[in-house]
Amino acid sequence: MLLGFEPLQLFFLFFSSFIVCFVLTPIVMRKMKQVGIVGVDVHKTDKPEIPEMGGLSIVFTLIFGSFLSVVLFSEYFEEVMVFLAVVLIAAFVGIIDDLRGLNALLKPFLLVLACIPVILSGLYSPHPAFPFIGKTRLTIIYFVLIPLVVAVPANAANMIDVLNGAMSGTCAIIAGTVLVCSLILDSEVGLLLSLILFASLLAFWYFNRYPARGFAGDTGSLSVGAALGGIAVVGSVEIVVLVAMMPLIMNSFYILASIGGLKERREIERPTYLMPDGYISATENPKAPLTLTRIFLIRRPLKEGEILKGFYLLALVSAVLAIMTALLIP
Amino acid sequence: MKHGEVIILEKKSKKLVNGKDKWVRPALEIGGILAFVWATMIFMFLVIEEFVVPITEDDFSSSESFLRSLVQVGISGGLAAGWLYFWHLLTSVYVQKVGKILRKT
Repeated sequence: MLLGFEPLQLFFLFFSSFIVCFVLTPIVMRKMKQVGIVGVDVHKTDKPEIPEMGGLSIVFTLIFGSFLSVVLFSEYFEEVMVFLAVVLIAAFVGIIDDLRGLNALLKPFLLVLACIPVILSGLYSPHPAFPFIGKTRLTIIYFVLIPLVVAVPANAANMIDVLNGAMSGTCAIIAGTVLVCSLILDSEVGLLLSLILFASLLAFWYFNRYPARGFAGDTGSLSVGAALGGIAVVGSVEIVVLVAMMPLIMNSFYILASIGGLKERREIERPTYLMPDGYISATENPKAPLTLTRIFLIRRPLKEGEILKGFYLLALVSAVLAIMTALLIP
Repeated sequence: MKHGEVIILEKKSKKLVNGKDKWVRPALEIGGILAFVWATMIFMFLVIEEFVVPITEDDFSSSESFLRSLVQVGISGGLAAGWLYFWHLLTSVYVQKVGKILRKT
């Protein structure tokens, strides 16, 4: 038994979620190409057109996985439904952003709404556990912070999605880390939800990895980020998710700090540029935001695949730190 | 370990950092920043555990329990803000230093 779960049932949940996403992703990508929802891959010299909004397959898989987990483990019905509601609200915001484009201020505001199901259900514990200290009592502060716990990871995942497989790869590592940490911290809900997310991200990464056959779009990145935030609150694994997401938070924090707040995409200068030989170089424009990719390229230009390997290594470093954090919680 | 083996190992590590796998160096440097920032976060929790959590009813009367919580949250929040600023400072120093070295060469 794994935290009261039958390992075979957990494996079935993981495997079926993986297969559903693996089958759905190419179908969604083909449909998007047919209807003309495509984006230009700016980091390739031949500038190919790649299907956008492929992240819809992740959303469909999360819906499937949530219903399957309710069938298998009915005692977690409320927690799973709240998680699903958070993901669906973020996905809805992502769809509008992909199809119409959202104002830089309106998008974070709409993402804050994704925390409403958590607040209304009351399925959160205002006693987050910290290393050495253990469980704390933050009744008022926690309530104030809930909107940020969902909106910050959603925006962070959205902001890292600039290279092929950057969001799906790093978030798959984060979801896998949350899975391990949930086992350490005895969080049944955390284990269940991170298992579904991990399976769908692994399958999606296969199609989204360098060179990408499809993009996740804002639909994918916002729902994945919100899902991680939802798991943090509903599964009571807040500090572990925060540590595992450190590279993503660092990226968004520096973008916001360097451009002086939330701005429209067209108002922001490009932090990198593609050289004729296919290498990506950091721009010397002082007005350009300081992104993680730009920090990576300070020393020398690199190929997209090389930057991605570095991103994955960073996510693995954070994964180790998150597991160590979980072990330090009494 | 024989002398020849040491040279091979040195060559391998140099290749890993400066040669073909050029992505390893920035990843290790930024990973180092993250590890250091994490260590300071853990230290911050130790400080809170040692000095902030022990603030008990002895320091405040029973009617002032709300004030006690406010002081605890205030100090912890201040420490957390300081930690975030330290993270910001560390990365800024790294970016400026590397930029300066590159401009010199």
